[in-house]
Amino acid sequence: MKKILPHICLDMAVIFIVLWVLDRFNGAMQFLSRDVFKIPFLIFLVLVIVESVMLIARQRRKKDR
Amino acid sequence: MDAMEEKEIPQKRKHRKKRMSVGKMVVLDLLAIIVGLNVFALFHHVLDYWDIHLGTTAPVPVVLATLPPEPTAEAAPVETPQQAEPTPETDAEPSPEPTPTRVYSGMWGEKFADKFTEGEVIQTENSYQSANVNITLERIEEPGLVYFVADVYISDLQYFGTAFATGEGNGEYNVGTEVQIDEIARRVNAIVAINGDHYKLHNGIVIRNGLLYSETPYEDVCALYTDGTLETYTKDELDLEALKSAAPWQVWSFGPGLLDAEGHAKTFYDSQSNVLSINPKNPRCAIGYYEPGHYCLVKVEGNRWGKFIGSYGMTFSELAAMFEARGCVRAYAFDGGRSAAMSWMGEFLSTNYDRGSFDIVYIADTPVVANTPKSAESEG
Repeated sequence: MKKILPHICLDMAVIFIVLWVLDRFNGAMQFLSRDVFKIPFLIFLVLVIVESVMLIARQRRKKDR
Repeated sequence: MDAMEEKEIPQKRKHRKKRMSVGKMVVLDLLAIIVGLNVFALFHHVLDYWDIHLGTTAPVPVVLATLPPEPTAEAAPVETPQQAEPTPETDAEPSPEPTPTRVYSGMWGEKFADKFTEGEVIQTENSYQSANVNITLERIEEPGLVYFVADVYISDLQYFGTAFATGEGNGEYNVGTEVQIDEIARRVNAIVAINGDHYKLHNGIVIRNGLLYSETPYEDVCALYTDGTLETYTKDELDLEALKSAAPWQVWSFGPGLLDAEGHAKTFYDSQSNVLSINPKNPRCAIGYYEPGHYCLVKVEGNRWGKFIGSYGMTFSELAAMFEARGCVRAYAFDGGRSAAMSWMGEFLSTNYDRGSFDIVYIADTPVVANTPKSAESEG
């Protein structure tokens, strides 16, 4: 989990940037407004929070050592 | 101490060996991104499309406008003698062979009398003339450009219809997928038809043949009112309640509106129309408005998948300038690009057509039969 989670966050972030760029070129396709975007985006946000909390905890543990 | 360090070093080396190289990691991440985008495309383009567009039940439409009953050619002769009787001139000078009074069809039958016949249908390869409609189709060629203009006179708004892709008659809202324009045109007996605003893609304000189906503002709006006037609005200008209370016969959401209030070509378009990918030379479909009862439907040919087919298409500015030059006072672009399509006499006309239509705008010689809200029927 510790190893895979940052990659998932990174990959999803890149995917959303690609979709954002596509949306700028053709807003009519509604890449950013349909549920098919909103659900993975919510998952991404939750994963980023989890990853951030884990990273902060790791950093604190390192400092404690 | 030295012995311990010696023990640690192989362990670290072993640990390093287990680590994935940066290059491999980047490749795997890229693969994951590609897979992710494809999964998104699967849901966005295929599964979500099916769910939203094929499986959704249509909302109950609200009747916003109905057209006044048209004085038909059969009914009118009963009225004409009554109108003729009170005039003293006819009594004073009785003619030996009284010429029958011409019966005009619809709201604008008399106004455009010279455009309509007295009942017969005159049809050529590129024109159609009857007591109700007069349509002339032009194929215009300029260097690197080909476009079709259908100049339309109608005696009544009942001959100006819209139809959804799937279903009987004018079709059912939000049901089914794209259908080839010639197929829809044949179903509704359209003389000329162009694709509409591809409403399913956005479900903006959708009012068709007097029925309101959806009222979420989306981009520029075009309204054709029951008095035959056509008006365009930007999303910011639009007053939805005022629009609804004005009883529009048709409302489309796409655009942009191409001419300003004075009928001059706009130099700036609100909405997504300024976006680079949409504004270059492209196949186009649009409607122009001269005055109530007189319109034109335009289809501009353009490249297909970047392949030159004799026409590069038009930018919005060029399209707007063309409408201004033709004397239109309002003009509005429907969905273009791969959606742009036109049919004439039920036959597909354009050459760059490769996507079906969700909805069409058409002119027919038979009155449009407006859909009736099923629930309203049962309630009423």
